[in-house]
Order: sequence, then C-alpha cells, then structure tokens
Amino acid sequence: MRTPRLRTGTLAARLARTVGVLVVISLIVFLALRLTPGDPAALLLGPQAVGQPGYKIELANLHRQMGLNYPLPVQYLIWLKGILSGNLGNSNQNGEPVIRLLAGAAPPTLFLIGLSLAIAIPLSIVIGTTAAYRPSGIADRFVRALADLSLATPTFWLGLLLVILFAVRLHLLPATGYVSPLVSPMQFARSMALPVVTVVVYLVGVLTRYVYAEMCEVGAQDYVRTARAMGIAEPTVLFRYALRNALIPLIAIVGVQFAALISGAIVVEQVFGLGGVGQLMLQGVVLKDYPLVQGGVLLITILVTVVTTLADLLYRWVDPRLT
Amino acid sequence: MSEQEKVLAPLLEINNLAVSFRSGRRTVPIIHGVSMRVAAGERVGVIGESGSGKTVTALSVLGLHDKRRTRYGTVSAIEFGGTDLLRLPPKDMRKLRGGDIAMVFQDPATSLNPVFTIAAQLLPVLRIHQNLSRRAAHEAAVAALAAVEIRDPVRVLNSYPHELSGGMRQRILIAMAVACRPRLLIADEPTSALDVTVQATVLDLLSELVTESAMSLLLITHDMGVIARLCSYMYVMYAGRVVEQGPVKDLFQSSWHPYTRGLLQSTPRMNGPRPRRLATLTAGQSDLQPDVSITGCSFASRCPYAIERCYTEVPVLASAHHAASCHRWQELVASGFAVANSLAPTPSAAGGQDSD
Ligand SMILES: Nc1ncnc2c1ncn2[C@@H]1O[C@H](COP(=O)(O)OP(=O)(O)OP(=O)(O)O)[C@@H](O)[C@H]1O
Ligand code: SF4
Ligand SMILES: [Mg+2]
Repeated sequence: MRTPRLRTGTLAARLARTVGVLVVISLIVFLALRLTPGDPAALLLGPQAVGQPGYKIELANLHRQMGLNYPLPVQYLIWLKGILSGNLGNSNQNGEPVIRLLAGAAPPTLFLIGLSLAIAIPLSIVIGTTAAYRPSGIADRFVRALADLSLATPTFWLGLLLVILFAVRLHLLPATGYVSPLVSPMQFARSMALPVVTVVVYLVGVLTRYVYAEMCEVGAQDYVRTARAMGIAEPTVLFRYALRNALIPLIAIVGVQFAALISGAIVVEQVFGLGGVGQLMLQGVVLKDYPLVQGGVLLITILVTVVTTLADLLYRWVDPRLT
Repeated sequence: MSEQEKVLAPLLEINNLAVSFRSGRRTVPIIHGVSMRVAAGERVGVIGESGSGKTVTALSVLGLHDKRRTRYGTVSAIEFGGTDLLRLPPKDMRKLRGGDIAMVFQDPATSLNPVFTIAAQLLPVLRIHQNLSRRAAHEAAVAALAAVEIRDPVRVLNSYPHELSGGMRQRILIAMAVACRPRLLIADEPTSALDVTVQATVLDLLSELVTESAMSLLLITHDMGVIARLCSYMYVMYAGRVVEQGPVKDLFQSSWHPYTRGLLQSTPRMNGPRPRRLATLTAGQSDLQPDVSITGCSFASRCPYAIERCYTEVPVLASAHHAASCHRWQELVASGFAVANSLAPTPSAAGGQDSD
C-alpha cells in the first residue's frame, strides 16, 4: 500500500506556528504570575515575619536573589535567556533546579496519560464500532450506560470510590504513591492501576460517543455499501474500510482532548498522591514559586503542542486528500 | 407469448416484491408488489423517474438494505438460480455478492472509499472470491483494469479515488464488479453521474463486457436512449410499481401505458444522440411518495386520460410478455392516444396538467 507523503512545507509551517504559540504562552504565564497579587518573597518569609526588625532589608535581599528587582521586560528576557541555555532557574522554595524537579515529577504524569490513552483509544474504538453495528444490542446499551455514567461522575469522585473499594476495603492495591518501573515493575503496575482506570473510564465515556456517532455516519456512506456489495465480510467492512474514515475526526478529538486530559490528570494525581507535574505545580502556584510554575507551564505547553502537531500529522497521513 | 425469452430459464426472478422501511414508529411502504425476471444472458432494462423505487428494488436483490429497518412482504420472493435470496442466511448471501451477483452503483464519486488506494479496495474482492495469493490478485487486478480500458493500470492501482476522474472511477467500479465474472450484473444508473461525452464510452464498455462473459444484465436508468442501446427487454416503474413491461422494440413501437408514452415522447428518437432526462414529463410534480390513501391508479393525478374508475380501482399488471397496468390501455392504443379530450377528464387530472 502506498503511504501518503507529507509536504515539507506543511511541516515547516507547523513548526513555525508552534514556536509562535510557545512564545505567546510563555508571555501570558509570565505576566499572569506577576500581575496577580502576592509577593513570593513575602510568602517565603511567612506572615509571622512581617514587622520584625530587619524585615524590609531581608525582603529586598530576597527580591534581588530572586531577580525580582529588575523591571518586568528585563526579567522576561533573563528567563528566556535561561531557557535557551537549558536553565529554567531554581525553585524559590528550596533552591533546587526547576529542571530536576520537573524531571522527577514528569514520569508519573506521562505514564498516567500515556497508559490511559493507550488503553482508552482501542477500547473506545471496539466498543463504539460494535455498538454502531448493532444498535440496541448489548454493546450499544453498555455504551450508553457507560457514557452517561462517566460523564455524570466527577473523576476525583470515581477515584476516591476506587481507593475505598480496592485499597481500603479489599487491600488489593495501594491507595496512594508512585513507584518507578525501574525500581519494581510489579509495584509500578499496582501503583498505576487505580489512577489509570479512573482516567480510562472518563476517556472511554467521552471517546466512545464520538466513535459511535462517526461509525454510524460512515456506515451509511456509499463506499461502505460498495464494500458490502462486493462480498467483503462485515467485520472487515467495519474495522478496516469504515473505521479508517471514522478515525479522521477522532484523531482531531484526541488531540483536543489531550489538553483537557492534562488538567484532569492534575486532579487524579492529587487523589492518588502520585507526585506528578500537576501536584508540583499546584504547590508552586500556592507559594508563588515563579520559576517552578513557569517551567511547569512551559513543559505542559510543549507537550500539548507536540501532541497536537502529531495529531495533525497523523490526520493528514490517514486522509490522503489532505496531502 | 411465444417469444424466445420466455423459453429461457430465468436466472433472477423477483416475485411480488414489497418493501417498506421503518422510520421511528411509522412504516413507509416503498415497493408495492414488483415482479421481474432476467433470463441467463439476457439484458433487461428498468426505467423510471427519480424515486420510483429502482434502487430499492436492486438493493433488495443483494440484501443490502439495513435489516433492522426493512420489511419485505410475506409473499415476496427473489429467486436466483433456485435459491430465495430474501431468506438466505447472511453468510451465504455474502458469498453471492461480488461473486455471482455484482452491482455497479449510481455515483462513482462516493462509491469508492476515499482513504484507500484502488488496490486496497480491488485486491481483497479478487482474493475473497477467487482464492488468489497476493501476487496473483495483483496481476488479476491489473488485468481487470486493463479490461475496462484503463491505460496505466499499475499507476491507477496505487492512486486514491480523488486523484482520478469520474469516468475513471466508474470504470474501476465496473472492473471491480465484473472482475469475478458474475452471472448477473446489476448496473444502477452507471452513467448518469458522468459527462455526456464519457457516458457513451462507458456504456459501450459495459455492453462489451457483458457480451464477452455472457453475463445477465439488469440495467437501471432514467434514460430511454440507454435502454434502447443495451437492452432487449424492459420494465417501466412508477411509484413503486411496474406499470409496463415488454420487449424494448415493442415498447418503442407501441407503448401501452400513458406514463411510458410520456417517457418516449420526451426521448426524441430511438437512437437519438442526446436523450433527455425524464423529469420534464409533467413539470412541477413530485407526488412519488406512494400515498397509501390512494386506492386507484397511482399515476391518476398526473394522467391526462384518467377517468373515475382510475381513482377507485387499482389497475393490475397482467403477467403477459408485453403488459401495462392501465384500465384503458386497449382503447387508448386503439385510438392512438387521441382520446383525451373526447372523454371528459376528471378535474384533478386537468388541474395536474395546467398548474405551474
Ligand atoms: N433507506 C431508505 N429509507 C427510507 N426511504 C427510502 C430509503 N431508500 C429509498 N427510500 C425511498 O424510496 C423511494 C424510492 O427510492 P429509490 O432510491 O429506489 O428511487 P430510484 O428509482 O432509484 O430513484 P433515482 O433515480 O433518483 O435513483 C424514494 O421515495 C426514497 O425516498
Ligand atoms: S389507469 Fe387510468 S389513470 Fe392510470 S394510467 Fe390508465 S388511464 Fe391513466
Ligand atoms: Mg436510484
């Protein structure tokens, strides 16, 4: 089979746009952090230090240390320069390099999102397609029930429910914590099981609906009828000829869903105490840890952009009319 | 009655086909007792305007209607080589499709899958029905495309549908349909979506292929000229019924049903260079949704010869070799269809003629 080729022009244009998006987002985050009330130095010193002798001087010293004494544009340029040399600065809280903090927090988040998608996408395709093939069959009813349930259930609530059932009641799985697969693959699987199930339930609820709707529409197309008229077996008609057409809009949806998934992951990480990027940033926002939050947002933005770009390329690859 | 077609054993026999579709709680009847037969090697045409039920009838033969929404009449039967297709298990039906019975569809623009190459769509068909290896299937595909006069088969096999012209796509669909040498080919308006210039070549090609492999042909069309060119026997459909049937020559010489008469009048000559479409028969009318409340002839509201009886009594189609379902066909034929004014037409018939 022929593989559609992508024009290099398309790729270059996409990359240029991606860089533009990154610059704009970094500006927004930079300003949002600084224009909201609250002084990171004051927060670090604590409310009890206010009015103590030498407080003013200590505050000024801290400001200088954090680079907050410069005008905003200069602060921004300093930060940008740091990024270009691979330095995201140090955390205000403990002086640790932001890069190291993020690198430590990234694996649980990436595993959570990656595993959830890897399970949820094929699962949604199978359930949605089967349901579209036999409306009012078992799969169809299952889809409706599941979709309604997962949409009506807040993710954190389902997470808590799973913790109570499997960890507290049955003692089968750990309630919280994350174990690296390098330390113990078995413990890793056990620590990820509940968070991944939580996210998968949510994702399958969302994605199955799209698969179902798309497959119903594609199933009524002339070319599907042609395949049937030529004696192609029904499973092949659906899972090969129809599915590829239905995938085109689905890829776009997953691309969009990914951004929402990261914010959802923050909640799930919190419930299961995985110590991921979300948790790290939540902490950073509370303490106005500028370098940490800026670094985290940068990481997430890059991640979302990469995934969106991949989705776009995949989209073009699946649909030869676009190349 | 003693014509040679009658002697041939029928390959396809549609008996009293009634089809209705369920939509929500309502069931809409679309086909009301259609009977057709196609003998081995025979070429039969079906003509009728848009919405008369030609495609629904054809799709019934291949069992391609959505099973959940479709109801067939209890006395309906579609016999193909002795088996009743309407009651065939899906698995057996699948073997017939593309193998013994193949179909070419109306719209080549939408009938090929846009995200697969031609090879990816054609090769599996060959492999399923002929048990070919991948390489053998590829060779067979090249041969199949060459047979429909595609000049560069290897390149076309590697193309996507949107890279090909409408005429090419229809040739490919024809190649796909005839590749496994079906006994019956159903062609549903194979040329109506094509440019006029391309139409003739595609029709000639179809005709050659059918002759070469001694297939039976059921050709659906809007176009009297196409029937004249390809078929020996024909059915005229109107609002889900056959209103006239007979040898093409006979019908062109003397059609018996007022509707057929109208069709022929909108076609200039038997082998006219550019037959027109039929929609102009009675301008501004489209009461084709068969109305169940109508008890008489379904053509009555458009028929210039309608009399009171036409509104109360359904005319039946005799099973003769040439027959028309009209109460008045004998007197109309005898008078050369000149009686309209002498017999007072009903007000609604007159209204149907004058409005718009
Ligand atoms: N799947 C379906 N569900 C409901 N109604 C249908 C369905 N398919 C066709 N019909 C209706 O059946 C009638 C006959 O349709 P059909 O497609 O057989 O007409 P046709 O003679 O092939 O017309 P055309 O020349 O436009 O192709 C139309 O009124 C159409 O609306
Ligand atoms: S039965 Fe009556 S209405 Fe119907 S075609 Fe004949 S004359 Fe016209
Ligand atoms: Mg049709």
